Amino acid sequence: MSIVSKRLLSSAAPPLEAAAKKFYGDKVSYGSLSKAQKAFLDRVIRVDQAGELGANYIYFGQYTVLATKYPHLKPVLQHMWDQEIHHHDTFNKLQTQRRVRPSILTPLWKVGAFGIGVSTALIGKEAAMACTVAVETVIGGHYNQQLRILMNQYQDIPVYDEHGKEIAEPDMEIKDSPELTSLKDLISQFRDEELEHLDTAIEHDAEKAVPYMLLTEAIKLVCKGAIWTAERV
Amino acid sequence: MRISSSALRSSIPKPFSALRTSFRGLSTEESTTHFGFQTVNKEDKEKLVGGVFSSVASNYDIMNDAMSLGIHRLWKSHFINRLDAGMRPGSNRPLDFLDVAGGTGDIAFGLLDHAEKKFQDTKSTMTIADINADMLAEGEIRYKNSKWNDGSDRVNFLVQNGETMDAIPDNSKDVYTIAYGIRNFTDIQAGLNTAYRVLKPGGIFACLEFSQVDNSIIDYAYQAYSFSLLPLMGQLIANDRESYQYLVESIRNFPKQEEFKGMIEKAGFYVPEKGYENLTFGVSAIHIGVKL
Amino acid sequence: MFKQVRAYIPKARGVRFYHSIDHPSSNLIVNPDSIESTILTNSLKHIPKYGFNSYCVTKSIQDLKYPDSIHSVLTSNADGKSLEFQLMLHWLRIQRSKLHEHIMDPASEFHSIENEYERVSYLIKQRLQYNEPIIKKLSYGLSQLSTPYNLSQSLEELHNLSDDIVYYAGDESNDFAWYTKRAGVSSIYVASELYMLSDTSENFKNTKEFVDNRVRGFDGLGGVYNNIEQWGAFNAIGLVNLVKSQWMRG
Repeated sequence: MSIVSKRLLSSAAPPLEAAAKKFYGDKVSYGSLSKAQKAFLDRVIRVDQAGELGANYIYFGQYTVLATKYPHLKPVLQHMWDQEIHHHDTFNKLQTQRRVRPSILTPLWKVGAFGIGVSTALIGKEAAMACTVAVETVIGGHYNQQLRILMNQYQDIPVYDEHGKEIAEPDMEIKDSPELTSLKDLISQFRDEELEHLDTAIEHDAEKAVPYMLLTEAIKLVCKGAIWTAERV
Repeated sequence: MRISSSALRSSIPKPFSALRTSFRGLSTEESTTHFGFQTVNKEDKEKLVGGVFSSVASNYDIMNDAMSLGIHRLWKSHFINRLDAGMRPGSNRPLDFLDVAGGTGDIAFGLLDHAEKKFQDTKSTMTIADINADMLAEGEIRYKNSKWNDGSDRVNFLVQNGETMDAIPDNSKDVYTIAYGIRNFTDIQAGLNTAYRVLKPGGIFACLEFSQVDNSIIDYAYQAYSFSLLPLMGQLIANDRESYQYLVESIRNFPKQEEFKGMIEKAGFYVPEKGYENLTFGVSAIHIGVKL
Repeated sequence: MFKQVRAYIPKARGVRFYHSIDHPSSNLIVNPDSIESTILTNSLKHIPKYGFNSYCVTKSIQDLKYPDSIHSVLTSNADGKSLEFQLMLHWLRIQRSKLHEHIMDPASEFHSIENEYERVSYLIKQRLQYNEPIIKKLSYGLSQLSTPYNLSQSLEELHNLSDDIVYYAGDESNDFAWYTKRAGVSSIYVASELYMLSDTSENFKNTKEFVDNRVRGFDGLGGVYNNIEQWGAFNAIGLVNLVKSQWMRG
């Protein structure tokens, strides 16, 4: 049997959820998500995938320019870039498994992010760090907003026990399906790592960049515009 | 500028003069409701609405044409077409229609017409119910002069309060229609519950009513038009500004589409997906429910 | 002090999205409980005799012994869909869920095919096979789909079908290739279905060959986007190196 078919037919949940499923077992099942809830999850995965793609290529751009000139920055940049690559891969996998449509402007995000990375790095290493500060601030707030909504607007999904009867007051642990719980955990973990990047960038003299306010505010604006677009297009 | 039946109108007290005296005896919050933008006792609302409609009865159609620029005819015929109700060829049981608050009978006769033209249905019966005897009287006059008055007893007229409908037994009607009437009920939910009671299983509840406009620019224009022009037209054409002021205010107070859909579901109806169709950007809306 | 969280849930337009794993009832193509789908599913068996006609719906309601008033549930559809269009759309959805069931059967020969494009070919042919019982009535149904006011909804259904086919075939693309593959399958499917309408060969042999040819041609296209990207990146690197070397000299 082909590997793809095996994957299609297997009733085991994909690795991302396997750990969670082991904890809950097969004793509970969940009611359906409303159209609006599905639309939001679709949007979350698409925009987060595009966002991590952008972050990946920004670090790529910065690394290309700065690694040879400033060898002491090489491990720092490498580490941040590796984490972004991991984030990007995770969202790519999630996009395939959940059959979500990726953003159609992906080529644009690739070129644009690489361009921002290279141009800020060419201005100077402080500017590159300032760019990181701007991007990570926007991403941190964005992930927080997503978490808020995932926690508040997904409370009304019914939980059924193994006989199909609705559980009136489910425990905290089984209230949310493994799918939603693991997504929330993923987003909070990534948010923490992004904020760590923010702190690293500040440690490496981001605030010493010459047009600091102008640079960070401009990049924040561009990021917010890109986020708005990637959610929809 | 008085039009005919002025004698009829002048003998009925104007609703707002009754209002001024009743304010003195206002009781606690729970037993009040809205009458346009006024707050009145629940017991009084029925009388006040009755007063409004008695005074507009004879000019009702002219005023509708003037106010909606004739569009109300389009809305009503769209309503009838979308409902597409009638006994199909090959079926052996005629349908029982109930048109509530349809005093002047335009929806009722339109439905019968549609069923006859499209499905050759000449057997379905129609009951027209209205709380206001004057409006019903107008309808009966029209019926007498129409082709439906053929001695077959298909159409009958009842004076009934839509919230209770004592004369109509449970599970007796197939199609319940109410066009531009439900906003005048004192207790809309009771009206919906009664609709559920009188319908047979598989019966359809269909409501055509003014609703909220979703687009804010168009909404602004619409509000400006309703609140300034309509009472003025009422004054000029029918010499009755206050009744038309009430009509405009009652439109404003009617629940939004989603809220009304929730009320229909609360009465026990199954509402098919989306559940309402907006006409002209939401100025009017058609709501559907099915008793399963 | 705390910012109000606006209910940020987007308005859900009709587009197919987000396949849930722990909430499988969210992924249903046809909701079997609703009365509209009960009536429409029952009408499908009258299509071979009467075609895509509202009479199928009337007959279905009479079969189920429902009162005639229940027609209004379908005719008063809030999106303005006519009975014939609703019938056609429902038929498309049922065939799509049949395809899904076919895939989910472990014994199906589909699972022994390795190559992604051959899997696409198999799926398209399998789906076209479901057209065979009603092939004589199908042209009227398809014409319903292409009228301007129905077009957006029928395109949505077509995209859902090609998304299903490409996913079952094993697509894992994360970028623009996602779109090109699905667009390709949609166009192949539409062309094949139209070809099938006038195909008189034994067992629709010609249609099957048509599908195979088209998919083979599309196979070549598949790598094009990635090749273009690689070519672009290679040239950009070359250009940068050229500029650097010229700069060094000057």
